[in-house]
Amino acid sequence: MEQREPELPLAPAAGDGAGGRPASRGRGRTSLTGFLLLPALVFLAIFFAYPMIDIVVRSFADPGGFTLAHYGQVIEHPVYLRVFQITFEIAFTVTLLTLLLGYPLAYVLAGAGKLAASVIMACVLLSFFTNILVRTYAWMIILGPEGVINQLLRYEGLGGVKLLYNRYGVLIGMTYALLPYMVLTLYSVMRGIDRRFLQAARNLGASDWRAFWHVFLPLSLPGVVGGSLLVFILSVGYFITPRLLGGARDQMIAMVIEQHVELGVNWGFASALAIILLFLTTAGFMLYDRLVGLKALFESKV
Amino acid sequence: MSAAVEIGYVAGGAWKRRALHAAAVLILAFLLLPIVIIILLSFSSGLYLQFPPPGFSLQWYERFFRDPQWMTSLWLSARVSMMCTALSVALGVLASIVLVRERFPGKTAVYVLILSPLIVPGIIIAIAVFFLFSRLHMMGSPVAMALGQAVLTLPLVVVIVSATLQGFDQRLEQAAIILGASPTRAFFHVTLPIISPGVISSALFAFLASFDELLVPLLLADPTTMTLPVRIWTTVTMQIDPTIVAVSSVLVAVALTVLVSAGALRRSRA
Amino acid sequence: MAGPRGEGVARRGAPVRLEGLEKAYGETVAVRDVTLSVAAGEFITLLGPSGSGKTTTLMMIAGFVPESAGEIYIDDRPIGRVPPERRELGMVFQSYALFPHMSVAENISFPLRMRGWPRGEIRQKVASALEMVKLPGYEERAPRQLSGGQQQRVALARAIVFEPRVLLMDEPLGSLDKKLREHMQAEIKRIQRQLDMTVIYVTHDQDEALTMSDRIAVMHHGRIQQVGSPTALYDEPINAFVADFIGESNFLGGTVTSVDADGTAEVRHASGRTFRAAWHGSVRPGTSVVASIRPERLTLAAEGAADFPCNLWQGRISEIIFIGDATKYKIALEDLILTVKTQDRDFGARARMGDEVWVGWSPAHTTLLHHAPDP
Repeated sequence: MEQREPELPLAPAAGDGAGGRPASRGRGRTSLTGFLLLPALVFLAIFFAYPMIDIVVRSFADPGGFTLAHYGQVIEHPVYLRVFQITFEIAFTVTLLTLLLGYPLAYVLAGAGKLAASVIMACVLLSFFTNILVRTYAWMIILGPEGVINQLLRYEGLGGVKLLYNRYGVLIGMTYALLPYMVLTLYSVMRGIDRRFLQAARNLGASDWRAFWHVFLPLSLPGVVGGSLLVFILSVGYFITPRLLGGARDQMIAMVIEQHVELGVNWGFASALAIILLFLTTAGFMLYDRLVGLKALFESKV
Repeated sequence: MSAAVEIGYVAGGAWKRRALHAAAVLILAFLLLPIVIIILLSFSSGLYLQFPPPGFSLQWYERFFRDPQWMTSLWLSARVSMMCTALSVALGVLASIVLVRERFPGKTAVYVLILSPLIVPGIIIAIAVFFLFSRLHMMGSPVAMALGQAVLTLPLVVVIVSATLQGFDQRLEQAAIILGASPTRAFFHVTLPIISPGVISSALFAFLASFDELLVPLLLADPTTMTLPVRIWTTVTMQIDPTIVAVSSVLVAVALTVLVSAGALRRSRA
Repeated sequence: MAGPRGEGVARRGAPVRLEGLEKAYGETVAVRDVTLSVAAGEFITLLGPSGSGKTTTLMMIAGFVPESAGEIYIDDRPIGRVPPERRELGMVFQSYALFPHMSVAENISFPLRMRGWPRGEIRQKVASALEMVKLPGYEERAPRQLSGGQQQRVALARAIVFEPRVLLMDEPLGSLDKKLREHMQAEIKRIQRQLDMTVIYVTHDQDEALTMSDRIAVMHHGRIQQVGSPTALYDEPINAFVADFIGESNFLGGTVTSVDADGTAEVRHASGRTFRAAWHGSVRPGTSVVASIRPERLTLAAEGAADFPCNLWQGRISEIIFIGDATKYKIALEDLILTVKTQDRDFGARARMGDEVWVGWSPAHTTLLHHAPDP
């Protein structure tokens, strides 16, 4: 992944003469501090970098040696192409839905008073930090055949609806799960928009609608692009929610990878799929970096 | 919808403002509803997941806390998360010091390496770690789980601690050193106490992320070593067991505790 | 009382010597060839604009910035290989660097605790250090509960409590207002005299440097331009930078036409006018020189008079600036403007913009500068 130095969140502090390195001393005793990085690097090399390389190797390996068969399998079998198609369909729809719900909420959040803003923020963050498994399970309880919605419908004397183990369930659950990412990204951009631009536009004769359309919307566009890209990338790799809420026809890439590993059938093929998924994700984040800057993303993660 | 949206900023028709606020309230309700329903149901006296609950009871909590299997999982999760947190905080704090203060060739590459687990899809990291520990014959090992999860929590720690260190005035450490403290003593007497709110909150978030992690332990678990999320997962995929609502509420409480403590830390820093 | 430091033994400040000190950051050279001898007990100021290398020089003495070349001697011992914590230097940082998580007492006792002093003695030492900076009884306060001036005093107490023989101060008064700054200048001098420490003081404020220092080293572009007592720097600046940085100056470029035995030289200004200047060193007819004349050394008169100094030019008042205790006039001659500072209120009462006036000054107050070395 390519990152440009200035965009990293933590550029080194350098000042006039005063910003010298504190722990580096006179000649012959230069920086021992570099060694402090070593444990983390060794750790990541063993438990992250090496296993990732292992996946790449497995994706090209069969008992006979080098092979492209695993990748070939993806293209040859319409089933797998269909998985990619479904994955993108779902990711795209979820992106659209989160944008549709996230934009007004972020808008109100950015314009709200101190108290209202902190209440809204607290709700968004609580949802954001609640275990994804718990949030998905909640939707199983709500959407299921004996779930909250169907119980209420029946209570009203209405017929039941099928919302679980199909596309509806997946879309509702994933939209719900990814909405906080969208809201937080949009909010970080909208917060920086000077309200006086809108007042100026109104003062110059624009109607409230036109002031929004010509001034606020364009200024909030980086948030729209960033949030959408982020939600899309995360959706493509999603596993827990579609696995629990979806049906047989809602198989996404990550689920196929997990199945192949879990059942132990074909690790090479699972690896090839993983590499394709990784490639797509990396491309997505490089685009994100180009358009929005990864720095903003890492900061919002805190 | 958008027509109503700009009202937050400029004077306009009151109905537009109201429509916008109503939309916002509905969306907030959508965000909160599932969590609220889970908590309500966890106190239900009903025999199945009846809604609205017929009465108040602690039966599901009782079942959770009395069940040795759930308790084993809870304890295992706590152990794994604590190991993972300790490891990632130790490595992350040390790495952050170098990343914030030193210039060296390849720094960008090191950043990318450390932060990329935040970007790589969880399932890929999970199978990567799975392949590694299956080679090492460490399947089912809590240590393996902690190590695997630390890959995910290390970047969290680095991001939070680096941001804190960035705000730390290095002259304080220089003052300590010129006044006679060795660099190590200066770090423990001056730097660490001052950045400790950041370090503690990084530990809190690392703990939460680790406690909640499903995919890494899911692939590494054997039937005797199932962390809490793994047991929830296997239960949920097999049957509808109302005990899960109590377990879920406990997890919500953990998240809430972390958020509130981190908020308090942030305020104390200011 | 027999502390580990040997209380009661007469201690003097240690001499400090910088020899050919140099600091390069890759291509950029922050400090070049700085050589300076500081006598024991001397108060010396490194004065210069920001980026002149003064703070970098101080940080090299402190040991935080490794020198690229040269050597530092404290008490005639080279300290290049001594880590900062064992250089036994007191230091007051810009914006104080008080430890926010420690009380005043904990801050001040820090150097003593690091040196393993016994607890009872530490308490006594802290109390007497607070006494010295006139903050007795402030032990339990937190730094953020103190005013800027009080924080400054605590920082000073912390730097001197272990009785270092050399005290480094990096723009210590930068964030105080003018009144408080002048008060603290006097306090710092008092404490320095009382403890008889060598002080190396960094500032960009020439008034501060002139008031406090035994000697000043003016730095610019990483080099020491001139070292000397405040009066020497002011009266005999070696080049235009020093003349301009230490106070204000009028600069007249020209060529020497004759050198006389009475110690004055005649210089022809570019405009064709001539003036006389005191000279020393190697000035010969034909040498091109720059002369510096302080604005307060110029006098103004409506008409020429017999008691006027021998350099006498005519011009017009182009600007009048009242600055409280004095008035500044800009006098336009055809091709140059002279700045005159005078406390002559009588003249001021009559002077109007555009008036024809005479500007006069004495050769003794006309300093011929060596050409400033090009950076």
